[in-house]
Amino acid sequence: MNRRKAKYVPMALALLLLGANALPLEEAANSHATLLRARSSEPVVLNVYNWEDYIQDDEDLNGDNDTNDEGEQGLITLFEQAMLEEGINVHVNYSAFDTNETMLAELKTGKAEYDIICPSDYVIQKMIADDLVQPFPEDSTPNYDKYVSPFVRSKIESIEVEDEDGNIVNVNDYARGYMWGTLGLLYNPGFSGIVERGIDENKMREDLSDWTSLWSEDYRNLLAIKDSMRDTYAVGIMKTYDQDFELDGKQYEGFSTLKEKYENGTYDADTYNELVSQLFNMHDQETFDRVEKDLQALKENAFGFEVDSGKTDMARGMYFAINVAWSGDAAFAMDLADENNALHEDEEGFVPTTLKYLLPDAGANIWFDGWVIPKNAKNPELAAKFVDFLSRPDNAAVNMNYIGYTPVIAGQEILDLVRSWYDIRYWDTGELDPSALDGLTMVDPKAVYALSEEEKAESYYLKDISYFFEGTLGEGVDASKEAIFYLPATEKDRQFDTQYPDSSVLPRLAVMADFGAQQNASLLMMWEAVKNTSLPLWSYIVILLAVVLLVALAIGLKVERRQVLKRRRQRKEQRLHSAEWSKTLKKTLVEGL
Amino acid sequence: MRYKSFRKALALPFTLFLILFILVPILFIVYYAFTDSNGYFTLDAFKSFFTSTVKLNVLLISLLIGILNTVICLLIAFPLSYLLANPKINKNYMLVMLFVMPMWINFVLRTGALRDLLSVVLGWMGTTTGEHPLLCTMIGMVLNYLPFTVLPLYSTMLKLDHSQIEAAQDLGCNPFRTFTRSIIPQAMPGIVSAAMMVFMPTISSYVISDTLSEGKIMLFGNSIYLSFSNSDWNGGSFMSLLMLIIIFLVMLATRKFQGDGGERRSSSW
Repeated sequence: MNRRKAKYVPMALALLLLGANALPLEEAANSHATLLRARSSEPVVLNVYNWEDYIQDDEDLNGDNDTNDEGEQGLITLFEQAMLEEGINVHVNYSAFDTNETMLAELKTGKAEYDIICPSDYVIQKMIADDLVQPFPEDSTPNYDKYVSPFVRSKIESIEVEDEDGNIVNVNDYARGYMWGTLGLLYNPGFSGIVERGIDENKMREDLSDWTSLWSEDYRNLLAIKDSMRDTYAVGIMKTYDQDFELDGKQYEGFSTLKEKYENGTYDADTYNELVSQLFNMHDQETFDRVEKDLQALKENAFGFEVDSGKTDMARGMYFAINVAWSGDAAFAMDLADENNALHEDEEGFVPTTLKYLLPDAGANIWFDGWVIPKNAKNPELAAKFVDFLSRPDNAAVNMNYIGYTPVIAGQEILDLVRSWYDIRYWDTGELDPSALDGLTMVDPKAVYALSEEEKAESYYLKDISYFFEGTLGEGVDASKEAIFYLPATEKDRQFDTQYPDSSVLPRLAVMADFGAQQNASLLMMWEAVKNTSLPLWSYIVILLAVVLLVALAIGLKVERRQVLKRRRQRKEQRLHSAEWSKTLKKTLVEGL
Repeated sequence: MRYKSFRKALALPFTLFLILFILVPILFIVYYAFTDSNGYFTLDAFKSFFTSTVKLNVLLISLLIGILNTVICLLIAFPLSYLLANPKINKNYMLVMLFVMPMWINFVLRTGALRDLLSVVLGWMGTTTGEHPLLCTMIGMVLNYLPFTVLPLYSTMLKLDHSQIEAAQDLGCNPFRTFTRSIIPQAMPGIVSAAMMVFMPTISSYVISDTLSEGKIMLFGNSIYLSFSNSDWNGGSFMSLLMLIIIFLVMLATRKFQGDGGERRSSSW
């Protein structure tokens, strides 16, 4: 992430200066008075509960006016200052959780009091259904409303939730998005095992465009899957229902058929997305059983499970060549590998690791994390202000730069930031420089794969991500003209493609819903069965025999011991007896004499 | 009189500590093990554990790995500590230090490093760690728990009564009988406490099996963690309770072998 940070520092400074200069004099004096007044008042505590490492922060989150090692102030400190200027003395009490389930368990005890929490999509759904959260105060997040990507907004809306009274609710009333991404395949075409098996990059990419390749002998022991129930279930169902199938006497179309029918125009994009989502979210017992069988086979074929270590293993080019990965982790691994390559490039015999990421053709998971306000929150208004502060595009840019995940916020600042990272024309200065394209040829994105490495270095392709920026760039700005990126051909399937998928893949991305308490319990049982190591039958017989033998031995020893004791006792008695007898003899003898 | 009550007061912090951090948590475990998510009494966790072949299998595998690890550790550590206790071989404490030193390095770090090392070694043999989850787990377990076996055995070996061994030899025992009739009985407390130090933590450990088997081998500890991390507190508590009971039973069964030197000699069998 070095490249990103370095590029960003001057920009952050410029933004700060701009903010300071824009304040007219008398207003400054006024705000100074409010500031003083606010500072002397009792601070209002805002309890924030977020994922670990999920915000750009100070060294010490709860300290005052701290800066991180690059001299930047953390977003939380900046928020507190911004609130001071509005006349509210806020103290943010920030805590972090590591899994959705821990957070949920803590919340259910009712003792934890948070004002704002950031769970994943399916948990938000569960929390709304269980009546644990309250709607955001009306019009309380103007920045969010203005800058949230319409694409993400519609994805959030597509989650269907019934509240306790059975009314359909709009999730957008209850949640504000934070970060989003996909679950796809991170792969390393230069991995030694891949090269040894004679698989070249293009074959690997084509193979991996199909989820079922993970079950193929070609990639045996070269792939790692997620040690996480829902994510691996998502992979399993893509294989189980790849082809047409029958369930409860009903005929269903598999993912492959849906894709064909979408491509030949039978289904439009919306219908296709709806059908993919339905299939992806099947959660009856029969489906669980079928997926379990496929996952058992996948476990056999896989190198192993991982949940956190995979990204660094991939970046080091060790252990495995394919990793089921979340997009943010994939981008992180790519950055790490690039840094590592730059560090060692002069060393003799060093093989650089270049990682790529793709979303298979038949469908994939799209997810988001969002902010919700729990029912027992003390400061819902302030919580909304906090979310709105993070939703300002300049702050979202700072956050994205730091965390590496993609914020749901669009807007000009985000566009500028992303451009300065990826668009060749903006690379050097952050300003438009058309001369950067001199000597390069434009190619069709699909044609990139056919090019040789030398040709790639001299080519670029266009990518349109206006779907994400539409309507957020201000009035009169046409996103379909602005959000076009000029990318070097070498960057195909790399960081930018990971963070912002191509618009052509959108119809096949499905949100994974919550399955409900009972089905979750069945899913857990299925998952345990997958993780369980079953031994061959003969070993159970051997164990049984060993146990029987041991018990027999113990009993035998005990019996033997008892006999030894018995004999000892008998001898003792005999001795005593004979002693007594000799005494009597003596007595008689003496008396007799 | 005042002195006596003062001595009693000294025990207070420890008693409080015991109650707060040991007794109360156990009571919580018992409470959760026999209630449902609404807090009503139920035997559901009990039933679902003993009717699930998967969970029973996980328990069985954990016990097997625990026994195997104990046996291997003892087989290695017994001769090793016998030699280390011999002043001719181990002139100062250094050698013992060397064997115990791995314990000073952070355990997660050590396991991660071992994973890399195993991957290189297995790579030379043309295979990978992912293909041999059981082998890698066992290597990791033995390496990790060996110091815990060496230490108690070493300290009993130091106290071995050599005149008794000599007497056994003098009275016509062959080396094997000397070993089984004199050395082993004398070392029994060390063997038992070493076995306890290995067996119980092995069953409940999960970092080693998770890292070195690449997540392919699930031990009882992993299973408990899985239950808790998926909000099945009742099932997880029941399994924790079961583990406590197993440990308790094992301790009860081995109690008669533990004791001070005086008892030890009289209990030789």
